[in-house]
Amino acid sequence: MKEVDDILQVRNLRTYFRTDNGLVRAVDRISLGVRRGETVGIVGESGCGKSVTALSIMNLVRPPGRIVAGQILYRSGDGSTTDIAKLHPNGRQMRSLRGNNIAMIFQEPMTALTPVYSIGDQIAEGVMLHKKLTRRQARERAIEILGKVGIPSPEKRIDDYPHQFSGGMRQRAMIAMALSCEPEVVIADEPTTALDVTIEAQILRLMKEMQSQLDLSIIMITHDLGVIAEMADRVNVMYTGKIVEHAQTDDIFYNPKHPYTLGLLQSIPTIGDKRRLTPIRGAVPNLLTLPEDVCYFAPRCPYAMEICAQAEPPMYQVGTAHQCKCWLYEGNEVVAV
Amino acid sequence: MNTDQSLPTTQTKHSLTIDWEDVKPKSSSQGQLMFRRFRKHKLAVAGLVVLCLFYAVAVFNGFVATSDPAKRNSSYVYAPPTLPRFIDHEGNFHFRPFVYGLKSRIDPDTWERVYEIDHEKRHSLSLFVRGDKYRILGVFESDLHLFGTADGAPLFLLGTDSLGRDMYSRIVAGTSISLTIGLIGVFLSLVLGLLIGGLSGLVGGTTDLVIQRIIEILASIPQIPFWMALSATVPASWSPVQTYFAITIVLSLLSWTRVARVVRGKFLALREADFVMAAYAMGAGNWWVIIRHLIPNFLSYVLVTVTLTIPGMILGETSLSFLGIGLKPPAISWGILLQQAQNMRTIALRPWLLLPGVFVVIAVLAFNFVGDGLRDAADPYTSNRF
Repeated sequence: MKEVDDILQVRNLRTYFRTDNGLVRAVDRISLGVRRGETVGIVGESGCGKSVTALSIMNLVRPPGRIVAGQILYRSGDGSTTDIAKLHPNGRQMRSLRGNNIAMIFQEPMTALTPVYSIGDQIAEGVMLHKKLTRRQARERAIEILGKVGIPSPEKRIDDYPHQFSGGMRQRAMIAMALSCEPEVVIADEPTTALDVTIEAQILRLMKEMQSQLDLSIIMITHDLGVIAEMADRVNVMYTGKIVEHAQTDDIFYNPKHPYTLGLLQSIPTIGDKRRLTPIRGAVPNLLTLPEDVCYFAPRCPYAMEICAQAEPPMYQVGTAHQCKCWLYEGNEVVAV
Repeated sequence: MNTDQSLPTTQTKHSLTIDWEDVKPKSSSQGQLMFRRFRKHKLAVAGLVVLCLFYAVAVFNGFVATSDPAKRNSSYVYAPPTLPRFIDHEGNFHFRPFVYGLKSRIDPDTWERVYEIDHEKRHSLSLFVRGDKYRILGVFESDLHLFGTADGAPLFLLGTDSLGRDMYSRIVAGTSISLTIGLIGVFLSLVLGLLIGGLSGLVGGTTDLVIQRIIEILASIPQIPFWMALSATVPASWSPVQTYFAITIVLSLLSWTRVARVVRGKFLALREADFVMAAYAMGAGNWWVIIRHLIPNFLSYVLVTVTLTIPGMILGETSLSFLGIGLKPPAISWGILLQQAQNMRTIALRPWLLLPGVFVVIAVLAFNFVGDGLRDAADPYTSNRF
């Protein structure tokens, strides 16, 4: 993570949840960078901390969760750098960043839209919050952006309510809402999980179009390697709150290093291949009962060694812009964060 | 995954264009949908009509009454109701409704005053007659009444009380206090309920725990003794207006708990909703989210609770006044009027003194029907959607 032109840099972020049953380290010392105009993927199975990472970047982690340590550096267009992790979650500065500079697209477009306001009102709301426009101007902006995301005759659909939109249209409306204030970073948390594959393809294409038009940086959070292959320039693979591998998208698919990434890829079916799929054995461990300073994947890892249960592996540089957190690569250069 | 698939576009020779967009029905807001569902509930609509009538009467009670509700007629004590009729005792039809006059004599055996219809005196009724002076809303003075006897003879549609005062005019006059005490009381409990319930739902933790226990304690106290204790603290020297407000406060001190529970429940449920998170992600602050997103989403439920709380308030006022610890004469409310019907003798000999109770029942039923209709209309999961 030495790139100076990163628009967003997460350094050693820890977000912990203090529950009645004990401490849950949902996000544990992760570091990642996002460059202007690129798409960074975060992939992992349910409960690995993807969404908490997203909420941490938005500084929207709710109690009992809390950002315990680390930095989230946001370098805005004018060159000033803000550490989001240091801002008060409800403070004026954080609120003016949300939506305006960093926006979020949610997984469930039905529940993420209020049933009591029309689509237009909901898009205009953000514009009015941030851009100091009048009602009429905000409405025009909403029509413009709805047209951009591919809603036909937006001036007629703007007064519709969410229940009158189809699933795909609702997700388009969500994207319109996220883009309404021209943010620089968009965090998409499983944006296509609730949609069927045809609509998924449309939405992904739309996001790419919007990205090239508006020079957006996108953080794509998903459990779907297909979406990653489609969208991401670089990928972070997450497992139990830690990033275990980070590489260019092609490297992840053609040259995976971490046994977990390898396992994920082996469990994807390929058309024409009659061989049985190899699942990753075992299950995701309970984050509550994990000991500190071991490799959490070791119990499920076919390559597990003695050291894996004794010490946590550091992040090794295993190739050009390719890092992997695994003892198998001991001897390579250790990445400092 | 291939996203760049597109169907080849076909060119057709027929150039008939149909603009489907023009046929698109207008979008309906939550409120419009609610109104449409409410209209389907016949009883609720009937209840609403009755309530509108009652409240119109409450405002224009002087106009609707036939005489001054405080006017005493010493020669007509406990007169029975004289209902307007179209057919006289000889069987002739009269186009104009009329009432017969009353003759009174003392029964030599019981020493009771007995009334008999005097067929000699026929007073026809007419609309918009001049009579006793009154004020509308305490401002506009007038002496015009909706109807009355054309010749100015006293008219006792629903009989008279122990001082010869017209019960019809008194019931009409009582409408203003009996129906507004519910509204003002409910407004107070709505404010209390929104604030305390909202606090409970938003802050959570110990605050929530303490507030919920307080609500449980309040809800478990028997209402009448609690009200009695509270109204006993209202000084007897207070003017009727002061007592009126004191009683509304007494009534709402117990009834806010229902609203508070609904509000808290909705806050807890909606706080976790994705659209609330989405609003925060757009940079909205706490107050913005509460006012723009939380309240509109549960307002319909609160409305229902409020409508169903009003009848309890009306009954509360009636009970308190009936027991003599609420409002006191010369104020006129349905409860005060019912005070006269406290013994078996009255009920047996002068049943018309129970008539205010009928109006209480009608008002309470109407509120309950409207509340039921609103509840069905506000619930987006009812089966008969559009």
